[in-house]
Amino acid sequence: MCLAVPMKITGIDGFNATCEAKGIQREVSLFMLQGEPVAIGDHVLIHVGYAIQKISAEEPALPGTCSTKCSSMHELAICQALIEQVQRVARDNAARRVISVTVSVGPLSGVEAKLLEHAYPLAAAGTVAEHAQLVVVTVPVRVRCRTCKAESEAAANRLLCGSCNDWHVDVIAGEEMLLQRVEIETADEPVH
Amino acid sequence: MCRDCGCSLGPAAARAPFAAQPATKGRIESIEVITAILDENDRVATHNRAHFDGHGVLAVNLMSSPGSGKTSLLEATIKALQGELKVAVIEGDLATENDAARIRACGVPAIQITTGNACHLDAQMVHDALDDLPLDGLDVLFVENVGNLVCPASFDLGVHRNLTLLSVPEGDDKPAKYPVMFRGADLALITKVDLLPHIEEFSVGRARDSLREVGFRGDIIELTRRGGPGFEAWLGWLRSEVAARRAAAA
Repeated sequence: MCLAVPMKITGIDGFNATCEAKGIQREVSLFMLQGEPVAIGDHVLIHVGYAIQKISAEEPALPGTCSTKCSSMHELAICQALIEQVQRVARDNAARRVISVTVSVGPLSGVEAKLLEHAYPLAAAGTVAEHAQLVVVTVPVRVRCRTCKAESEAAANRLLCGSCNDWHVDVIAGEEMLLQRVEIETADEPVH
Repeated sequence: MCRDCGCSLGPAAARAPFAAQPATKGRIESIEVITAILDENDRVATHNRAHFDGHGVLAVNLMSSPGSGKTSLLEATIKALQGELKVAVIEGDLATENDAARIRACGVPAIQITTGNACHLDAQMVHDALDDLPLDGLDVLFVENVGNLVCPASFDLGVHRNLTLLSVPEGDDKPAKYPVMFRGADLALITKVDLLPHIEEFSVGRARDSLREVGFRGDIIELTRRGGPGFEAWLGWLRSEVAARRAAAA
């Protein structure tokens, strides 16, 4: 699993640093690197909001480091897109914080629910959704047969009619990758 | 933080600064959203497609494992279509300019996107590459995606056609193992068929069945870049797609 993200330090204030990668800014803690002095311009590996290791600028691209663990990177990119949407919802509704984020994911979307859950804290670090719970609803693949009209569940790599075994089927569920619901706490005091 | 193993649990007092949950005071609201998570990528993809359409350019995305012959196929295709179609290529790789250099050596413009550690191209990367690539007068723009059978499947680039290559040495069960990638393709190319006599484990029939079972509904062409009827069929497919694009733009 590639659960650390290489980022470049752009600013340091005590134990806190501002880091940047691919245009995304994050506030991270340098608490774990007390034995290893870092400076602006250094590259570090970030894991759930903490810089955990100093690395050379070239290292992230080396085979055997992050590039071979790519599938969780792809879920990370999806989580970053998700967090952008959640932040927008939070802003539009004057949220003080996000409590939970519910997404629905089908096997044919190409996204692994487990990897999404692992990538979420990295993408959410430093945002209004940082402590939110991610709820992933997995939608099973369902097909409708063009020949016998039956509807049945199917495996992602065997899209056949469960009734007559024909491959002339239409997928009716299992492709989705949706943000469904955002539960927020607003800044308002409850009215009694 | 726990002093024994570094986990985030441990004595409550020590945990407090790490689990900085504000005490609940405000009102709790549940907001129904229901949007595609990648809608921003899809928006940029739609923009890319409009840009290609405006120039009457056919945009084709090539996806496969590393080493199944994407760049070799492009080299052979560019040579075969020299003087007939104007081609340009966007190359996606984790590192190196090697592939773009190979394409430029064939005399066509190539833009290399080095993704660093990202495992796929997305619509924004293609959009940014277009800044350096004039589309005027082009017939076909190939986008050679990062060699990977998993991640590129989730990201619409704004191309007109998606191609997936399956090379004989990889084995005929690749579609069953990577269903999302093969299902999303418009055309499947079984490459390196000149190796079939040496790799008896690979059955073209099983590969075709596997493609059908994952829901692939497009044409399947068996070819080698060294020429022959399969390669001609591929060029024919490309010509008819270019003609359709021109007709749509006119």
